[in-house]
Amino acid sequence: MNAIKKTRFLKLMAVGVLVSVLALPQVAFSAPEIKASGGGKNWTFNVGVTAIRDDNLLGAPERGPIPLSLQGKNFDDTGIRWNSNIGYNYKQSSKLSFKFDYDVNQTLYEENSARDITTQMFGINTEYKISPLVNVQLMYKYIYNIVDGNDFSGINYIRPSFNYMHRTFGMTAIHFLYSDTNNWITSLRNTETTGAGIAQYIFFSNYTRRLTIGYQYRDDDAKGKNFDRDTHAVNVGFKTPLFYGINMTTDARYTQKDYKTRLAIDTRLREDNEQRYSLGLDKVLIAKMGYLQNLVLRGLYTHTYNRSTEDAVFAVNNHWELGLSAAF
Amino acid sequence: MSLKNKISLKKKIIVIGLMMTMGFFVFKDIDSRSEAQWWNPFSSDETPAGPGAGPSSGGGGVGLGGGSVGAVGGGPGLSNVSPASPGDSGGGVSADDGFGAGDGIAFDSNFLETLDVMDSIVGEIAGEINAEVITQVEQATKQVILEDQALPSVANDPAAAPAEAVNETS
Repeated sequence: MNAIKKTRFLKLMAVGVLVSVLALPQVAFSAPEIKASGGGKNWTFNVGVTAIRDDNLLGAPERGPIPLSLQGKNFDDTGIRWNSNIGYNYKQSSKLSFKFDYDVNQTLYEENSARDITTQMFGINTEYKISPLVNVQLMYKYIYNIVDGNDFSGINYIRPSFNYMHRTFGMTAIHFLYSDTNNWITSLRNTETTGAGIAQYIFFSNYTRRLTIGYQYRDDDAKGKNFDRDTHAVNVGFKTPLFYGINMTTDARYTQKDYKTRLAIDTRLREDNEQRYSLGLDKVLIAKMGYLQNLVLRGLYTHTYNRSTEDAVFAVNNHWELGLSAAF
Repeated sequence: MSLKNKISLKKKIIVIGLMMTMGFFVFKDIDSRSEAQWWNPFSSDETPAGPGAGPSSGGGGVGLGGGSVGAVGGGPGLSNVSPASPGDSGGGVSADDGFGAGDGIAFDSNFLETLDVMDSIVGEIAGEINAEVITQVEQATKQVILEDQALPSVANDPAAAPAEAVNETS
């Protein structure tokens, strides 16, 4: 079993290295032709690797019996995630620009390979500046998920947004979203999602500190009505430099999920209240060295508390991450 | 998808479209470009600045705001914006990069820094949203797996599912 895992892991690492080898020369060749328009460059390339740890990856419930499907398994797990992003910026004019990018993100667990997820994301983001302080953006992504080596879902995701920067009150961002999920495991999970949200970014100390307050509403309309749900999420976040070049990012998010699923114990519908708190620290280890824009060390802790009227999903999880990311 | 759902989806799309269009028109007036330029985003934004009308009350004239003088005041040099509307008090493209051009706004280095910050922040936030989309998708995927394991009655038991789901599973 370990040998199989090792082989699988090596194969995946090889894919990662291959992606890097293919992408890096492209970046290197394009670098000398970097255009100075807007001070930006056309090609971007990011790569990162992160060690992760969850003390309740499988979502073992706090209340009630452990579901049969989870019995005998390790609820906690350690894993590794690697991600890579290559992007190309195209500036049509001073007002209209496009960004094309491709992301691949893979998470592998030591014990629970059924939770291994590979996500590929192809994206186009269009930005039109109405004025230097006002812009509209249209983001489109196609997201392709593989779980435990099997095709899992394909998602078309569209997110138009409107951003306005006020000199005093900071930035207001309004967005809408529509996504269409095609689940290849069960068509009952095919879901259309519509939603909208607003976020206010308030800046302090000459833009070095940022307070974020946001709200988002989502309506998931699944083919199987048991999976329909309405979601309201509010979040408050703060980002600030600390000392020795360390930056801190904190976020608190409360999500109310109203499901159409009837409970087994009575006639009520399922309702979840999820609280998620995160604390992240990062430090730039290397800045501007050749084609390397920066090398960043990141640490993240996330506590998730999902309170549900359905005991089987009433769960708590602590999640840790420590990793390096490089931008070229 | 039922007819009702289709109608509901269409309504949502129409509402989103209307709101985006409304936002577009509300902020359209912020832009001082001519109508023709407005409707054609591919039209040249790099038209040379009109002749500067000299010193203005707002300091837009000599050196900085004065139309063709220097890269800062001259439209293309700073941010490729439209020419200033002639006349008024200052002429030339203001350092404000064309918005409210002609009002003689003096060169404001802090404001220019703000513009850079805006670009930087929008870029940073876009990157965060990109990462957030991946994270959300990963979490949603895990949630589906978790629910299908922890709540097999919901996912597989026809008795727990409404009629439509029963038909699907059968």
